[in-house]
Amino acid sequence: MKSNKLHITLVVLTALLLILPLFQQIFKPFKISELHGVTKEQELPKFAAADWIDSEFQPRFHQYLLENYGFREDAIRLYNQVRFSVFGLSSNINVTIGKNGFLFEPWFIHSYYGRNFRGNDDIEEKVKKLKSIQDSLKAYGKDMIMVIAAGKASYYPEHIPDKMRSEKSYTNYQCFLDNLEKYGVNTIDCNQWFVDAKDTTKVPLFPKTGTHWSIYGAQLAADSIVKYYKSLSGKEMNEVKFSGFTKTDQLKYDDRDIEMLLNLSIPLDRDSLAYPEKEKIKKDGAEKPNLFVISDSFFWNIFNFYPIHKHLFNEVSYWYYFSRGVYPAKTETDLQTRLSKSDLIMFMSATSTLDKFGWGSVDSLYSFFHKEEHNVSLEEKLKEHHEVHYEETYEEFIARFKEQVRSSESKTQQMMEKAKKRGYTFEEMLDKDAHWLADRRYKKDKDQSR
Amino acid sequence: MVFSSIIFILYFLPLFLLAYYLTPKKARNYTLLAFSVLFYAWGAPWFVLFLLSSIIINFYVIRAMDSSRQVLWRKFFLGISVAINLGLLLYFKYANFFMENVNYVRGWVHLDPLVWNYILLPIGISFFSFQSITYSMDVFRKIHKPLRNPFNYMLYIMMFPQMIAGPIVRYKDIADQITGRKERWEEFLNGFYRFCLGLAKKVLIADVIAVEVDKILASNYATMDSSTAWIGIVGYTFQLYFDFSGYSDMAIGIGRMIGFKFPENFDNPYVARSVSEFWRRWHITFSVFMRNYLYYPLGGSRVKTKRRLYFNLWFVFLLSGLWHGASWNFVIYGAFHGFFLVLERLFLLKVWEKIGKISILFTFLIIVMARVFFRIEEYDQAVSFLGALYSFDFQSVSMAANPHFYTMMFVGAFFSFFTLSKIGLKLQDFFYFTTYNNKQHVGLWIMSVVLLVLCVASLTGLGFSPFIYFRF
Repeated sequence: MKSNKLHITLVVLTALLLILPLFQQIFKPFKISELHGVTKEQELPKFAAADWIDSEFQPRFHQYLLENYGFREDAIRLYNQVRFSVFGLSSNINVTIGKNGFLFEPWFIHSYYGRNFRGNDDIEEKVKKLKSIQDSLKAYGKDMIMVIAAGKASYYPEHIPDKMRSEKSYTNYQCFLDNLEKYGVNTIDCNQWFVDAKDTTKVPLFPKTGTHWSIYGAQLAADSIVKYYKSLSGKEMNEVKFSGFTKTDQLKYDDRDIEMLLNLSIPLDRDSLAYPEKEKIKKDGAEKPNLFVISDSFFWNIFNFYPIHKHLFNEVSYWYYFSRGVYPAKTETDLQTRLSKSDLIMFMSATSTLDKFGWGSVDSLYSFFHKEEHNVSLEEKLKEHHEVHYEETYEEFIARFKEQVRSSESKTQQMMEKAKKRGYTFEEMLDKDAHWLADRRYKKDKDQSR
Repeated sequence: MVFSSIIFILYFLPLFLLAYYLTPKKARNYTLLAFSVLFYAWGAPWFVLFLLSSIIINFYVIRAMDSSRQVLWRKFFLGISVAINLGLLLYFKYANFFMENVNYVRGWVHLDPLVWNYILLPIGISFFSFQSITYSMDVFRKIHKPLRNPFNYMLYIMMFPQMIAGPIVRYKDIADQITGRKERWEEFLNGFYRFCLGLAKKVLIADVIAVEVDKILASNYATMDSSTAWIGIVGYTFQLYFDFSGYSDMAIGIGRMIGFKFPENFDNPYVARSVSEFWRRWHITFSVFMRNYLYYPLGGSRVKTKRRLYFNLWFVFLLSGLWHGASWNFVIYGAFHGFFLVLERLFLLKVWEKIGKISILFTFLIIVMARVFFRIEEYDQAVSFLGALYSFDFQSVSMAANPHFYTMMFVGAFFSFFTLSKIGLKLQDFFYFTTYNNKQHVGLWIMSVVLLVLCVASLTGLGFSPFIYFRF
């Protein structure tokens, strides 16, 4: 009789174990911390008999359950932790585990070795347009600067894992530099400057566990950019002095963003980083120009942590990858107005994003200034309501999305796995995703504009 | 829906078990049938009504056969039943293959190809059509009385634990269990342990190996070095075993949780000392089916001439190969096995006996070679891959580059061959064939829960992982 009681107990425990995730999903009695990183989520699909017969409903519903079952977050953290601790592997294809626990995004490594070189002709053409834009803006009393942000693979090449090493070939970075110098574009090369300063700085300019330059590194870069602009424009601006630093291993999120992408249960060992204390120095009669930035994600650590807002610049408008978002949200999204208001137009790109540099902005600005018109002033251009529509059209968005996926090995692989999961060909899945994203974006824009 | 999916493990299975055990005993078969129909309709919604109709028709045909006293009428009804089952299989599985070859020949003689709408393959058709044939044959041979209730017959064919990928359960082995089984708590637990073990074999071993194997086998064979080629095909050999045997374990486990005892389907096939022995250890229920319903009716070993015997062997294996898939590479696969079976009858068995345990290695090598044709559909690609295997262009391999894969390869190799030792045999007996005391139950339960949690975590991380045998 004793053994039967044990059997029943174990059976009941088994039943409870199997039913617990469903219970958690519905009633959420236990608080589970969220996963980090951005993913495209499957909404709960509406049931339709036709979708069931065509086997369209089932994979979407399964995907929805896979993304929403109770304790899913813990399951993922467990899987990631086991893979990391036992095998030293990352479960996220967007994170490469380097030597000595240094984390990289793989495309930084690819660009460091020149594997994504876009070709000299392409880059030269881009730089020529930049020069033309620079000259056009100067004619209107505005300045333009091109900033190449530092790349982590350039800064920490010794920590690149052996399996990703190869012969270095001519890179986008080197080609851009050569052409920027050749055509006289105002350039700040933070990448080389960081590499040169590596042995002399007291704290690292790149975090072990983050993909961007550290907050401290970004402050130094911002400081140099402002000084460069002051010498270029002759403007008397306020100043920022670094009055001290706090060293800590309690890193801000921005300094451990790749680590967060790993979604581990146990935090990684981190180096201490410095967070500078800044002193704002006000000068009598200081000018506060307006800043217009078109940049990849490397500008965030300046935008969020350096006192560019109000103290150094009056208005700052940051167009993230040109068309993926405008910050702060309250600033206008009209290119002509932004150009006319701004005193400094700054492009910024890390070495890893130079393969796609511009993101449509260079062509947009170039065509804005070089339509067939005769010596028209910027104000007159605005009065004539030139429709330089910075915003991509629905079809352009889809084409760009598809091109981005096709040109990225990791994105292609993700799309192929997704297609296989759902029973589509690669092209079918790519098309569905592109349209899905475009529908959400353009419908959302339409809703917001009502 | 596959067993190794979140939707099955965390939704379908718990809801099914809850519904099953809350249903009064007399009505449990209906609950099981309802969930089985739902299970099948999830994956093949367009086919389920068609399937149900053919099952009903088959039921009444066999009932009519059983009622007939005249042998001619019994044979007539049997013929109709077998024709329905084989007809469905031939049409849905082989019609595309047939038309491709017809059009190939037409192209050869400069005729326009025939226009043909590609037919989708319903999942599990190879299994349930064979299962249906066993019912017809066992009733015809009066081995067992037919089922009285058409729903019970539907259940026999469509029971979700074994419908999609076996084991192929002969009617006589399960007939009494359909109406007279007893669910016991201890058997429920044994079933749970078996399910978790099978899930771990599939998710933690087979699926991990599959990721790397798929990459290797998708590469260009013309430039592939021998090391990579051997790793790929040996990896595939392990992947297939743990995938398929893991699935069978899960099916057997779920069956035990609801009082069914399905036959074993695998018995450490890679420790076989001959190809003949291999087929007594690999996909056992399939071999039993082919032996009882094809080989014996052809005369088996009791034919008058050796030539006829060898023909029977080879023919059975040709058809076995074709059963695995509707393309020429599977025919070659079957013929390859048949060839070695004939050779063993001729002289090779004596050679294996003479060399002792080393025959395990040679047998394993033959199995691995056969897997080339099993995995690579295009003939010229298979030949190119064989070329890579035997180019002897061995390059060094960095295991550190993919430690997870290589660890699972070692684990796979270990568990494929561990019953060569006495300890291994004892372990196997413990996990598969023992009645446990209380302490052992607690230990096994904890182990099973750990495996289950790891598998769920892995499935969420790795994603959807379809069974290889779903193409059948």
